[in-house]
Amino acid sequence: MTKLYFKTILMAIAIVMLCSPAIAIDSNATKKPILLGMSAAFTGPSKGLGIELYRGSQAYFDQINAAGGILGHKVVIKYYDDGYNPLPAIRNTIKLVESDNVLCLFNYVGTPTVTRVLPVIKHFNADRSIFLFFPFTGAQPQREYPYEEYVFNLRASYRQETWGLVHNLFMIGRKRIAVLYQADAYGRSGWDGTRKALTEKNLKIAAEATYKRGANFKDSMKHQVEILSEAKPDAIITIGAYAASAAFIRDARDAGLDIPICNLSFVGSENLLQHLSDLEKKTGKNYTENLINSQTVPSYEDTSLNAVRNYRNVMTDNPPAPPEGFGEGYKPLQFSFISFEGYLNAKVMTEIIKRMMLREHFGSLYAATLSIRNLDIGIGTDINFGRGKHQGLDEIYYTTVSNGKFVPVKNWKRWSK
Amino acid sequence: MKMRMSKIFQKTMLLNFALFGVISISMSLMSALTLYNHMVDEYISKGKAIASSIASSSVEVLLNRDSSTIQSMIDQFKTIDGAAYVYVQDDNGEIISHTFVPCVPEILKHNSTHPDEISVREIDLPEAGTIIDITKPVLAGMAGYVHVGMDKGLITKYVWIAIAKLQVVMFFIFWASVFLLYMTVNRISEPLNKLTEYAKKLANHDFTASVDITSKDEIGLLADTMQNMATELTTIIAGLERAVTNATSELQDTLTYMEVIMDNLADGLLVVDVYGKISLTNPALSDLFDLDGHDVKGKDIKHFFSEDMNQLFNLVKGCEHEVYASEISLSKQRTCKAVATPIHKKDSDDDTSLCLGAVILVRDITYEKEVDNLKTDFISTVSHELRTPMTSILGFAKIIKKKLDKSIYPQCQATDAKTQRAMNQVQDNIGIIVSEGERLTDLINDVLDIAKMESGKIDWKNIAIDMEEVINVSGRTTTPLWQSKDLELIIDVEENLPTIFGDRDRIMQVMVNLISNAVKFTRKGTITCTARSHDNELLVTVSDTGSGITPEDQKKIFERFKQVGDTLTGKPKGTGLGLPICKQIVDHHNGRIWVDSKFSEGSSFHFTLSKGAPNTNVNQIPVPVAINSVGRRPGKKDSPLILVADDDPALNEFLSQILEEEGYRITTAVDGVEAVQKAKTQMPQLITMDLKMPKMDGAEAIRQLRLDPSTRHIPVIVISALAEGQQAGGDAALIKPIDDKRLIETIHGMLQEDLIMTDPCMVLGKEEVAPVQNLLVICPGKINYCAPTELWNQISSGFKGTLFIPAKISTTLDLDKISRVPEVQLVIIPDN
Repeated sequence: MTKLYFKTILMAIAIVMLCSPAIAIDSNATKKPILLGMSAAFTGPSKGLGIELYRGSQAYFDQINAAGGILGHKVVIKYYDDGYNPLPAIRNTIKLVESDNVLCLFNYVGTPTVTRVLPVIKHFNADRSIFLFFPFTGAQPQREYPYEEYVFNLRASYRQETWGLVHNLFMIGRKRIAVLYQADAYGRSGWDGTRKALTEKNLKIAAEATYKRGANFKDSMKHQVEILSEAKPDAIITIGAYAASAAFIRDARDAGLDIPICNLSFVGSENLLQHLSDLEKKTGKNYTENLINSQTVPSYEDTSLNAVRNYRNVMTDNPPAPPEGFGEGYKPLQFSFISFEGYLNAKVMTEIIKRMMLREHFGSLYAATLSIRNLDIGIGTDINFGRGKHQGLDEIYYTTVSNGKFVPVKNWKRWSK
Repeated sequence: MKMRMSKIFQKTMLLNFALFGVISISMSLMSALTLYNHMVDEYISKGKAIASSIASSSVEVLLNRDSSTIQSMIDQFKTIDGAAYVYVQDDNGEIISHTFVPCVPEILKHNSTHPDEISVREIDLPEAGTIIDITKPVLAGMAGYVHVGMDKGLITKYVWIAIAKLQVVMFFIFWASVFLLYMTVNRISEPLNKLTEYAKKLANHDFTASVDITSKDEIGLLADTMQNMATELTTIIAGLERAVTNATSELQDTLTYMEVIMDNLADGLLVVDVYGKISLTNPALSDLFDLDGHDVKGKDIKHFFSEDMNQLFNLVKGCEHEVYASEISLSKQRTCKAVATPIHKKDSDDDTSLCLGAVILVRDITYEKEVDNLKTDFISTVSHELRTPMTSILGFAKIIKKKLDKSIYPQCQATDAKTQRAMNQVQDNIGIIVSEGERLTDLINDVLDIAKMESGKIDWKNIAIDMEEVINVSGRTTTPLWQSKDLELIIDVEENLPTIFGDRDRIMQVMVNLISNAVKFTRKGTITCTARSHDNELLVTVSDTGSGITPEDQKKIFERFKQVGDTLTGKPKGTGLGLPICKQIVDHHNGRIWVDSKFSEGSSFHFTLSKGAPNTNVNQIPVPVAINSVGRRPGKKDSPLILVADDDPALNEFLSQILEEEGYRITTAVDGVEAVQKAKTQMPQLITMDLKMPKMDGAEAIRQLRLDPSTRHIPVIVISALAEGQQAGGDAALIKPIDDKRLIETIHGMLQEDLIMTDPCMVLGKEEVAPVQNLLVICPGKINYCAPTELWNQISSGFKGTLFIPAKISTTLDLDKISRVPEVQLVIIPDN
């Protein structure tokens, strides 16, 4: 009898102790946190993309949450890893929507994943409205019928990026443009954009080669280099992730191909640079010359911008950790285009959530988003959303490597043919 | 054991292996083919499904030209198993979406098939291998085309994997089956091994062994059968052993009997094998040949026996001849008769006979021989003794008859019937006395003849003989016999008969005898004499058409004193010794004599004579030419010289002629003085002496001749018309008128030395008074005279021979004592 009683007391104490943090949180922040569902690559060759995007957003949300959140509601990113593969992405999405009951989907990474998730989102919207905000991809599907109404993009599209690259290259006389692309929807999207841009100028892709998604830096790209170099291109546009692109650049440079190689924003420029710089250190050879990376956000080196300054402060003072359980062995970058994009995504998202909570929007995220007009987030360009306009930014920024850093391209003429 | 078991196992293993091999290969082939075909179909339908699916869902996208969406779609399908690639062409044939890494193959880049319907084709890609390409038009080609490539190489891979899996399964099943097989084979081979062990034991005659197999299958049955067989064998072998034991003991009994019989056989027994090795002897033989203490068994016959025995054995050892007999001299003056018989072993299968050697039976006939000699000596002695009185009896009977015929009957003019009848009776009686006397003389001569032949006391001549001549002479000699009975004699002699060597007179004797016999038994018909040459001998046959001889009689006729016909009731017509003499003569000439006869149809007497060879060693003593041979060349220098003494020149001439015709040389004397003188000077072999002669009569001349030792031995034939011729002291007496045949016979007899006893003769008494006129016939020229008082001196000084004692003296002598003297024959001469 005495024993049972003792046991009961022990149990009670255990329960109390377990519950005490919740109680503490409850007491501190009485209101429910706002959950944002994120499925991204935190593992695999493209894990840098997911991790950096998360860290950028988390840096901003940390600021918001530290300041008491949005009307007392803290913003929390509920994240799952999909390893840059469509099927886990679909599963994560279902989990986020059905189990985690997130406010919206946020910061998805990758074209193939997002492309496949789109029908799922459309399906969920039959019952309730759920939106995907600011996926880290410039692909076309989520910008077109029938999915464009469930997705809001902040960044410019790949078509815009590729058009910009093709146009600039054309302008400096580089007309034979070859394409290396990832054999999936992302690659196809960039390829399609390039093709279209060239078609406008009555040109064709000089040569094209693909690589399999998930390729590592260690993998050889010599075959692809051979295919492309056969066509004697003036420039190469690669539509890939940083590991594969770095491998390609390495093999192309090793093969003596020193023409400009252009990468899209999605590549993860810092990661790319890190691989190549490491290689440079090892071999003493120059792999970072003649690289042109298009970006959808301004350079984080441009400290004249308000947002850049804030971003740099946050990333320096309170650098967020990689998402819990991931990023082992991964060395977070201090600054990067991706984390800066994540920072900006979070900043716009916060504004949208704030507006959603306004009475006039009746808690409608859609209405809140559409209400954003000429929003200045400190990057020198205003953000505009509206009916039929689900893309906030159209500006493309071109960067190149200089002194081990990506700096804005001042003059294309240096690559003139 | 291990080896055997593993052999069965090996065989079944091999079979199993082959079976499994066939099963495995055929199953693999079948399943591979099925799987391959099935998968190809499956892939095609899968490819079609993919193509259709893409085509149907990408119409709008295609029209929108959003290749990225299509890309994400085809990426999905690309992950489907078997899909090598998916690509989409727009209506211009440009590839707007594909899954190739690193680039679209050249073949497909420039490929622009635009079928209206879904189409399937096979293409070979340099990197991916064989691909089934399925092309599906979107909106009938308006929006473009969907291509799905199904990897055919994958199919092959799957098929190989399937085969490999199958093989693995088969592998395990195979080893399981091997295990099962091993167990089964073990179960079968173990009882088999047991059986084999059992069979080995049986083979080693261990019938007590048993085998422990109780199974009800064929092996169990076999084991039972084998055990039964062993039991049967045991029984049979026991039976056989019993039988063998019985047979052995019987055989031992028989052997013992045989040994006892042989050991106690009075005759010596010698068994020699074909190689001349002695296999068996008995004690009697050892006695006969003094073999005691010698181990002769297995030794060569030559080492222990005389040449005679060896020859005898050599005659029969090849089994070519039948039975041979031979007389053999042994030590200690013993004689034995050995009979050799070859041992034939008739092979029952093929009637051939195998020669095993010879059996020689040796009988000691010393005693019989002696008895026979004694008998022959006795007969000859007795015959001589009979002959002397017979000469007188016959001579006087004939003289009486002649006197009666000549002088008495013509004088007696018997008037009364009684006297006439008595005269006739006397005449008849005297005729019977003469004829019976003649018969008795013949008998005695024959008996003497045969006795001499049997005792070997005859000197056979060996001269060349012309058989044809002999037969012709025989025929002529017997002419009176057959002519008187009106019989015909046919002589059929082969031409160019070879000359043979032998005793011509004796052979003549045979011929004459046979012809006489034939004549004797033939009433009418013919007598045929034939002579043929056969190999090394002559075959002579004398056939008649007479009464014939019964088979029983045929066996007897060559025996002594056996005459055909009842000698008691029938009229005896001979001595019964003719044929035995013939047999003796023929035997001497290495011939045979036999008779073929059918009763009442006639008889054929055959004899053979071997050709013989001239006897070169024999001294060519001048032999008297056979007296019967007519036409012999007269006056031959070495012919016997005969002195004819007669005062009558006519008779002298007559006698000379007769004798000269017979081939003798003749010298004549006209009175006794001349005769004595001529005898002394010319030494004739024989003298014919007339008694009545001038100057000196015959008797005186004979006395003179006998007195002279040089002429004492010359035989003298007294030829006289006087009755006193018998007392004249001659060796023989003939009464005038002279029967020339009789004379020649007598002369022949006188000249035949061999007729005379060879032993010396001694006559007791004085020469002058000795009653020995006829003893010369028996002992010519060898007669010694001895006074009775001198007798014992003569005997003690070593006389051997015949002792003649006149009857009148015999009473004064101890005859009993004399007869006990060995090798002295005692003959009592009766008084005249």
